[in-house]
Amino acid sequence: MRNFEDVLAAWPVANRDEIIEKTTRIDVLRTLDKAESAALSPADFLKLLAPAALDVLEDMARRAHELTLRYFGRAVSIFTPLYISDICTNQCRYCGFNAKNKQPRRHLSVEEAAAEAFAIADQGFQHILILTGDAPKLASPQYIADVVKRIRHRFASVGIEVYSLSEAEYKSLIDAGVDSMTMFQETYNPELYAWLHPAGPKKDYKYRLNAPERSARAGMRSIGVGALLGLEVFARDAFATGLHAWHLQRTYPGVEVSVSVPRICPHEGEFEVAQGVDDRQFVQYVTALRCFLPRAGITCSSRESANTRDHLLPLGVTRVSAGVSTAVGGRATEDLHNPGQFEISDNRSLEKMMADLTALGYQPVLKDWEDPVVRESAEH
Amino acid sequence: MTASQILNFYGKAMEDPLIIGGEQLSSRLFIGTGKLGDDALIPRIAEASGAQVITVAMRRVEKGQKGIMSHIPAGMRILPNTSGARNAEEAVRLARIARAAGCGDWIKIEVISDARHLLPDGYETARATETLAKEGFVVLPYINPDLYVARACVAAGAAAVMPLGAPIGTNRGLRTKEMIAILIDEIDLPIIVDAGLGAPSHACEAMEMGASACLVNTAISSADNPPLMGRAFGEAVKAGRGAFLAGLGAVRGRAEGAVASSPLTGFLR
Amino acid sequence: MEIIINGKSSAGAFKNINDLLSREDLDPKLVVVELNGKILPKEDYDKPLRDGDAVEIVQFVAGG
Repeated sequence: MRNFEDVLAAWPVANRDEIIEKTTRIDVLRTLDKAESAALSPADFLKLLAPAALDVLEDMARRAHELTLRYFGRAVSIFTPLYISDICTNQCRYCGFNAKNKQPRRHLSVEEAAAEAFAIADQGFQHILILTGDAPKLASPQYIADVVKRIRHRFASVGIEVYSLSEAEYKSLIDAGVDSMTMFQETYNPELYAWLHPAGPKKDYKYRLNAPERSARAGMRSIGVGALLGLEVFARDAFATGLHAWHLQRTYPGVEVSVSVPRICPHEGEFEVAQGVDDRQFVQYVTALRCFLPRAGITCSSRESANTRDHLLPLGVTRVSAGVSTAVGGRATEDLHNPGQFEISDNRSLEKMMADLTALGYQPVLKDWEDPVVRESAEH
Repeated sequence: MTASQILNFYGKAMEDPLIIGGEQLSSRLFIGTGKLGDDALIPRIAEASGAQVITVAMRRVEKGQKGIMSHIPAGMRILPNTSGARNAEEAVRLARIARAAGCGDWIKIEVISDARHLLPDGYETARATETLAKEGFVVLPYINPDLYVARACVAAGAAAVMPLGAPIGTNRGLRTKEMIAILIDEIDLPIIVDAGLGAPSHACEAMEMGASACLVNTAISSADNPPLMGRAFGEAVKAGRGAFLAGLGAVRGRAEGAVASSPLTGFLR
Repeated sequence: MEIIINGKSSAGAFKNINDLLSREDLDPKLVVVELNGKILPKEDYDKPLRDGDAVEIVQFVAGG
């Protein structure tokens, strides 16, 4: 079985750039017509990411809107992230958790993490995403598993967004009650990746690249991938991200595959955004993803403003976060007033998000899945 | 340009061979030899259609009965089928016998135990595929266009899958079109539409959708002029392949700039 | 001696498969022979047949 590394290697950047360069607006319109009734190929997806597509963005949006309605109706699912540890040994140049950033750090005990999670459950959330920094000795797989076991009974779905794990480690977390994982490759350009991640375990590009597949083999139900837009030339990472999700869908048909579309925003520290993605390109990305992967969920985080997120719903976004804090603690435990991993632009609470979605004609969904296996409660 | 070449996106000639079991084929039409009435027509059909792959069956000999091999032009790839097999074990036995005949190691797995509808048994077919692929056969399983069966055949080591367009021998065309489209999208092996194609337009349609090849028997053998029908199918398959590579989906009446307002992207301004 | 040819019992003095095929007017190059359920290599076509042997003779015929 080919892994994603080989699939991506079959698409040299030079070949991709050539196709993108030759793509005309007519090519884009033809591809949009094809998307009405047939599956698009990776080459088709590439055309939708060409600059020529920006000339027909409303056509892109109409096709994406129609496909979103066809496959998802007007349902939008809501989740919230919970950061349980921000101690990090990596030095990712763009990240607020960078080990070089001098700031108070915090690692919640299992009981503290549970208290935070229960506060989230009390607000009404059913889907929670657990995040940590990359400090495998402290925020170990065992620690994450302990937290998950402790909180599992209060949530319909527990996801993780943590450092890359081995297949056995993913298996142990699934056994603990994790059903979904998100892994941002950040960039699919290995040289750029090496520069962006000068130190720490995250330096290993390939280990991270193949992490989603390892989790799929371990039996993960739901997997999300994403590049951090703004690091690499837009179309290159946009294409690789879509191809990654496409490959996972084809290779692991039992897995629910989704794509996240994080766009870099200023953090605590100094990082110059080299390849900033403007709003029109951002819309191009979301609509191209929807046309290429009509069945894939698309997650848009609170990095984006409330206005942008609202307008992206008709274009393909199916999953949003609410009540977000990217810092550790503050709900049920002490608030250190840390700056968090990144600055959020959409501060809406769960209640406000649900009201806004309803007003826009969408149905907020707090729970779209629950493990049918009854698990023993870890609450005493 | 040679027969197997087509013009690419940039107007250059490029090869467009179909590769199965490591063998390059320039024709994407496979033909059968059944129900002809006169086997002496086979060379004429083969030549007129341009086909390079031809199917045969295996049976116990009857006294004085001549086999079919003397009618098959030299150089054609023989694709023996396992028709008559009702389960995996029988198909495996027939496949081994076919290989012992010394005409190569290609085999079309056909397992049918329902004599009324003649539909292939996917479970037994996948089992036979697994055994034979391990023995080094180039295995082409004949299946219902069922995604799970196709995936089982891929996992079992098939070299291509051959979904039916309609029940065998019915000439009813691409009745299973939606399901075949799913196989074309999801399965990374060549998809060869087999059975049910009754007219060249049916074969053309399958190729336009992205099928890798078509296998036609009854529609040719039951025509008034089988060689001429063979030629028509050969041309139809080529036309459909060209249309697929050219990319269907012309812009239908979408006047440029016809939509003045931008209800979905207006927020960007 | 009595052997079974393609499921039918047949009495006669068959020396070996080559002998049997020539009596049935069959070209050894164009058939495959199973002896007692196992494919018989062509080089064994001159080995003596024994009473009660079951012989299957198969060839390619028209089919789709």
